[in-house]
Amino acid sequence: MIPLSVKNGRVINPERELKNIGEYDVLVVGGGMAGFGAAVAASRMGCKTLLVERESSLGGLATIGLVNIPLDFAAGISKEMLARLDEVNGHWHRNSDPEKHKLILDRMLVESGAELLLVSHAVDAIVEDGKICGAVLESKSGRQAVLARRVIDCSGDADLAFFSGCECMSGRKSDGKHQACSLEFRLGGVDWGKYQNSELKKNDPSWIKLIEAALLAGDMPYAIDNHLNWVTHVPGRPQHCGQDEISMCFAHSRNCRPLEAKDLTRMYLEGREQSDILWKFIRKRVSGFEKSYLIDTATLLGVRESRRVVGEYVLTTLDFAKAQPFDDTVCLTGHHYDLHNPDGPGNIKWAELELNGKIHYVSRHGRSGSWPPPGGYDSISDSFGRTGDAFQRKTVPSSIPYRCLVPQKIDNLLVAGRCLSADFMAQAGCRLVLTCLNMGQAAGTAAAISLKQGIAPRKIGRVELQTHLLRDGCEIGQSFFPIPGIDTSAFRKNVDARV
Amino acid sequence: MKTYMIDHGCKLCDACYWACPQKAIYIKNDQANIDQGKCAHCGICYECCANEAISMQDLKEEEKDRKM
Repeated sequence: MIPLSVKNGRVINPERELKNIGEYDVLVVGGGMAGFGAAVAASRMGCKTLLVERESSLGGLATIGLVNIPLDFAAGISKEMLARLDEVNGHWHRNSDPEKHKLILDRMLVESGAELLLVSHAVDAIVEDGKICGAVLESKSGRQAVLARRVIDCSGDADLAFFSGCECMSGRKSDGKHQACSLEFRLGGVDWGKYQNSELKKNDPSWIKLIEAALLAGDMPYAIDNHLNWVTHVPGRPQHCGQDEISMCFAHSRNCRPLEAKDLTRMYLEGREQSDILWKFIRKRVSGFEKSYLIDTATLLGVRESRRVVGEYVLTTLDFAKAQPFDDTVCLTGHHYDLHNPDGPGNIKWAELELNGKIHYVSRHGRSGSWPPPGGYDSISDSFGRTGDAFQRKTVPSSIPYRCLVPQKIDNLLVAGRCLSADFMAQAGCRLVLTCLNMGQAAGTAAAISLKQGIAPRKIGRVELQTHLLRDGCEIGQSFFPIPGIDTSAFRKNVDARV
Repeated sequence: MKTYMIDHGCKLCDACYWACPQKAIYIKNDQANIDQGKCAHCGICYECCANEAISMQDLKEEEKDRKM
């Protein structure tokens, strides 16, 4: 109870003692894919681990965000997770069943021995002498404290890093704008076979012309987006009888302020209105969707980028384009720049970079994306500024070094997931479902090693961390480049792309 | 033996590009393509394509003979 102390319109929260609900080796804040990976890894290494999640299930955007498309390298815990999903018919073609996914994550976390606290927000950090030593939680039980020797911030928004006083970045450097946010939705009653064999799928697979026609006809009152981002075919549903289920990334809110509750509220309302417009337009115009119906919109808004921590190293746009390997690489991503346009419809898959004193529009893909650079698609270059026929694709995936998970200044704190230490465009390529999980596994493993050695996470030896990750089946680049100081010959088959 | 083809539904996510053990995937005309000469018909690309843009067809007997 706060006694009434309203003075000049201000409410003063008086000093009070918080109930301490426990002391842990490792506290993981956020139960999305990164937090799941971090908690399972730390707990398996013998750490007394608590995972705190503000929603009612694990998985974050991959489950209740309906981003049921677990892309990127499946190795270590992520490979195991896909195999577990396979066992329950919850995965095919890198599309997952969000409901079965929740259950598998619950089971794997419980089996690891980690404790779980759902419906609890971490609202502040407990810091002493430059070291984080716990968090303040808010839940139906009121405001409580939990203490921990290591904290891993997997909040997506670098909440704990920010609360503990770490330097953070947010949005695009030039104007502070964030990537567009999306509320995904699911449709049932789809004849998937008919759609797959349709003229639309054959001639206009990204629906670019279809959307132009819908805008002209007034079926879409404004350009919610200028192309279909992705559609997944949810596994484990009836097939070939017009009862397929799909989920879709289509709705987009722009000019987002994802760290403000007021603007998040605006985006949830807008996302639901857009979904209502979109599914009716799809039912009217898309072959195979004539009898489709809206099952649901996502519980969790798809925020792609918000606050990122400034770490021991900040991954740069150029590192990402060059696929720069690092001595301390702890996970890979095969993805590319994937920026949902902050300003208007479209997806930007190139980055403006100055190379040898000249501005280039760098991409891995040449002409992909639905928003061309100022010089048109033909001006897109590789990371050496080569265009046209001289353009060369990179042949290794991009690396994420351990130092991007280690915030500056505050000790005993690690981050993983979309709030990693990366600049705006590099982060746009490091946010896939399994990239986040793999980063989480690296952070959880690092926390456990630092506890065993009794030193701060920033001081652990990268060889020990990487050796551990290799033994646990992870892909840290060994399939593509040498890791200095480690014989990786026995670990080149860690990745199984089939699962 | 099965033959695999990538259609225009390809979103250039690169999953097949990294997954193919034969390095048979190449990018041309803004999409991934399979070099049929290198393809070992293992189906890894088919299974990892999140956009179901890779189709699978059984080769007819005569084509099988020709291939062998």
